[in-house]
Amino acid sequence: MPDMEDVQQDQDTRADTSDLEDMSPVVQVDMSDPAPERLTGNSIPQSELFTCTPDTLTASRGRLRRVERDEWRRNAGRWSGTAADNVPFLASSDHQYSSYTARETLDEAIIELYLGSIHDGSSYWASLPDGRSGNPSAHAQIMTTTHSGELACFFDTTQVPDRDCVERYTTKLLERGVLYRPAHPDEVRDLSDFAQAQLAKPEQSRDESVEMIVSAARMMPGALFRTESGDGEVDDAGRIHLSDQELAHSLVYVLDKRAPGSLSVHRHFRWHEEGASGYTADSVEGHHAAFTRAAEDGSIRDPEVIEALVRQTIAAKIEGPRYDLALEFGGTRSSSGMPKMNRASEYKVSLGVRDFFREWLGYEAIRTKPGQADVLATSRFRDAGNRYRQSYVNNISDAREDEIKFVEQLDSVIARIVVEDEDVLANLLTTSTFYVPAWITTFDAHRWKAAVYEIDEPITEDTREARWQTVPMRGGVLTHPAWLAAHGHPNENDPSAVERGKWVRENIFCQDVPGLPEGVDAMLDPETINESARTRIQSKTEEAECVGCHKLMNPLGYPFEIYNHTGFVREVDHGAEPDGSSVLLDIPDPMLDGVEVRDAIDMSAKFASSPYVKRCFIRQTFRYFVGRPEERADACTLQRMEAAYDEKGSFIDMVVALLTSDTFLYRWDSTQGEQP
Amino acid sequence: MNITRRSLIKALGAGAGVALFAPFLTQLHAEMSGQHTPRVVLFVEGNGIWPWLMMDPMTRAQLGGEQVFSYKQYTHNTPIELDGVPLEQATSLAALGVDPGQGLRDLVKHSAVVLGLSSKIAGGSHSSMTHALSLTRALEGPSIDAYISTQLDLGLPFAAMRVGVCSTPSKKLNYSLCTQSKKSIAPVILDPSEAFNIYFGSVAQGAGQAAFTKRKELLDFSVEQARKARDQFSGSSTERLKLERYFESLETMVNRHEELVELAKPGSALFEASQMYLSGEPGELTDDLYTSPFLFDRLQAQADMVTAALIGGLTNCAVVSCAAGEDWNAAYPEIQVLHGMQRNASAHDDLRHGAGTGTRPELAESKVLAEATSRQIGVMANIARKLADVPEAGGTMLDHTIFVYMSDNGEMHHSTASEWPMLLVGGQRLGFKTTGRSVVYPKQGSDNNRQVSNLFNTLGHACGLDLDEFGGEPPTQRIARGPLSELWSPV
Repeated sequence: MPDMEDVQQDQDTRADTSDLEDMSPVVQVDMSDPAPERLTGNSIPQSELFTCTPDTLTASRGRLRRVERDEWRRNAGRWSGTAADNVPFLASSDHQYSSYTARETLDEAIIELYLGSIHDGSSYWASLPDGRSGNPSAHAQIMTTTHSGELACFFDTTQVPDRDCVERYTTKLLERGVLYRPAHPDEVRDLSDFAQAQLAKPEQSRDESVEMIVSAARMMPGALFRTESGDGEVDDAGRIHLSDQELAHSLVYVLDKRAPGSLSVHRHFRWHEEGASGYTADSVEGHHAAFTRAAEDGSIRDPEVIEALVRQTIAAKIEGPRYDLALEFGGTRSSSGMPKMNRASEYKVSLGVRDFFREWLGYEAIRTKPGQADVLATSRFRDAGNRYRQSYVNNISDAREDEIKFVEQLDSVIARIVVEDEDVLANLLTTSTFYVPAWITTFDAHRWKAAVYEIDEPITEDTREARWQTVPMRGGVLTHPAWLAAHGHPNENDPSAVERGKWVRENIFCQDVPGLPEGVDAMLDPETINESARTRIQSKTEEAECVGCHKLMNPLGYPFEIYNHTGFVREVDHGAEPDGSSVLLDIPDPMLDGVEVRDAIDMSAKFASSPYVKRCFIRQTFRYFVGRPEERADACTLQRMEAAYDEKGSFIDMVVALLTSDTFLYRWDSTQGEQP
Repeated sequence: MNITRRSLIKALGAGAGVALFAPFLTQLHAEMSGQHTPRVVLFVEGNGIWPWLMMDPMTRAQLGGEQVFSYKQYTHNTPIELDGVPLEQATSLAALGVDPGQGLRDLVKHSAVVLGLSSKIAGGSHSSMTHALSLTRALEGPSIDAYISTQLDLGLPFAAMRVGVCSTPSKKLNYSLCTQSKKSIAPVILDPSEAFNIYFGSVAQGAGQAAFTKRKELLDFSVEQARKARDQFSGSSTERLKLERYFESLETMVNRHEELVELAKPGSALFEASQMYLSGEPGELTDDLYTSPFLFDRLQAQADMVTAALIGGLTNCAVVSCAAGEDWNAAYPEIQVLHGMQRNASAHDDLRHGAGTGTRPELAESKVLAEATSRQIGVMANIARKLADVPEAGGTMLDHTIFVYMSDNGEMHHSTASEWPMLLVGGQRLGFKTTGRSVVYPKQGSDNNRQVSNLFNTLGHACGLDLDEFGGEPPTQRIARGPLSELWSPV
């Protein structure tokens, strides 16, 4: 029989276990079937989500989390662009956020692909580093964990290591290279048995044996899944607190998308830049060792300790190279990736926070969407020629150029606001301080990359300060070229406004737009091909059969028509002044319903002061950091987040409130049947 | 008796053994009268193919003469269909012709050239990467090989085989040509030794056997770990399913491994095919094709394995990457030196830049690229010939196998994706009109232009699938649904 907790969930929420509507025996549920629609919590009226009944105890369901691709890569100490990038642990496309866990597992195809990449970086565990030169580049990882020489016996290839030595090695491998937690004796025993069998093969070199041992360790369920089940006593409400180790993992993974204690390669870069003085505590203890220590001594259960750990991790202003991005830039012309690390802005947010904003705003899509035609169309650069077009394109994807791209440019804008951490949402929706690309080296062949920001002259000063610019005709992240292009269509008079308006409805107001009914010819008329997008959309969608849904999207999309499909400011729109005016209709916030706006800048500024929009922002934050859509039972936590945010508009305070809430810290005890 | 080819192979493989392979195959495929399973083989060349390389003189004359190089000069508004054309006289199609000196079978009467297909959804530039075979952007769906092989679900050990070459002998995998499903890459194995270990490790004797055994050890360890984790898991049934799926998948892979061992016993079709078509095992011969520094040697090794896999019953679907996807910048020093170019002087990019848009065939760079295409087509043609030697269901294996030679990038270096020249070989008993023909569609922009998606739809229909809208072309970009009647009719 299924656990009653699974049956209990509110069907209205389409929560992340909705594949269990038919609770037949476990083995009959086919998890390969895609969910019928995207899983969001939008269907719940927002007012119900912020109505907390005092003294209500909350928790989440226990779960298994499969490691995500980039987490695996970072834990293994591998760079973007290496074979580790091909580890196929990607979130299902029906998950709004990559942190959702429903149905994420490993099937045959995923395992086959995984086997193709599983060796990557295993050589780090094959020998001790070169102690003479101290160069960590060859064996950066193992040096981190074997500096005491305790595993020297294992690397003595003149003899087969004895059982004690093998167990020391496998324990170290499991705890510092695979599990990032204390290994269970059974895990050590099983891997040691396997290791001894490999080491006993006379035809196999030590390096080949190590590759097999590391691969076997990486196939262990503990390397692929982590639990959030809770440990210890069940309280009167049927809840159980996350174990100390689970909590450390949950916090570090959600904040920085890697394991606590995962091996640091910072010093690889620092050795090149600073020599031996570049070694840090991270070099030995791994990333976020403070969380590990707090788990080991039990202090992590103290909310004040959690708060302190979160605050020291989540955001900072960094002078000097951005070593935190050391593994994130692949394919640069410079093998070390240093140029991009130096050119990223001084405002750092942890990778989990960065990814939240990327996924909520959806601007990373600019990297993978089909190429957009005639990118300069209707802008004042429309006749500027191919050099301007190419400059724009190279803002997206040309890995040969060392300047950071659109996605990182918007990352920087957001990070600055989060680091400053006052009125975060309002600043996100109104800022005109953008981090724009400079033109520095001969590798950067296209000098007009800043033209899309209406900056005519290339910025030639290679400083962060020079890249921070107050740009005209922009106000907020929704007017950033990265966001506009990511939500733009292939041609300038395509219905980008519909897509952008739909996105606003769903992600700024947390409301769903009905899907396209079957049989509807949802295409603009070819006869209007020479008219403006706005005219074309109006002529097509104001028919009776269309307007019911389009009134939810078009008014929120028309304001963006002051920009073209790629994010350039329009100068002329098919012979007329660009028109971004709109009347906002069917807006759930009475302050905004029926309001006239001049353009996207005006509209975004009005969103900035809307309490309704603020609550949607809180819901989005909840979804990403908890890893599931919100439910009515989460109302007290959402209210707690709101109270924290309202103090001064602090995103960090809001996240701290969430990560110290019962929703994050407690799990319903799955052995107790029905959840409250 | 409801006999299947696979069960027959297994039955015979487990039996007393067959002394001579060719008679065995003749018997095997003849006994399957009335039965056949379709096969699809895609050869994909990186960085564009000039359409004129596939234009025979008769077709070119019809299009306007020797100054016609590509779609830009097409003026017709309805498809041109020509029968009985001398395909072997096209610049890069000589390999289709009879070569009495080598006893090669004429493939012209089993071939068709297709010109004029567009595929804007795939993009252009140096390579359209996974877009070329999936006809989507951003990993939005399976490539055609994955779609067909998954839909057919023939229960063969490998639904599809993906191998290839690039300029770097040490490179093992290409992750930018095939997709298994949305957001899921299907890697192409570039290292012939690695491919041997995966596909023929079961019949190997040397290092391949060792790698095959290692993989089994890893799977055995993993399946046991997954079983323990599943059994010990005390959480909810929903979450337990994740471990259940992991365990079941590993168990399936272990079973397949054992199945391969069974299929590989001496006397089995797989064993005999490997003996007949493979150039030994990696490291076995002095002139080792598997580890040769020369791209075409390694391509031959991969092609041999495709041949053995198709005939030996390992798979019915294969993709061969000829420096496609991320490997587009291949160089051909062994050809360059023949045309007076300095050895190792140029990478593919430089070659293409040197040759320009391809309208100057007299340039050395043009000759090098034309010969590279010719050689790769020759490798494909020789697989087709070997299949043509094997009787099957009233015809030959070639009649039940459609070969497609295409580029990952349309008509040239820095392509506009406006024309994707293609060569089809075989597949006549699947319905393909490959009887020595050329079909030229009106150029992109015409209402009667057709797209690569239509050709992929055609592959699907030939395999018995109701496939009318392959890929992610939005309605505004898709010109027509369904297969190409000029190239295929239902059997």
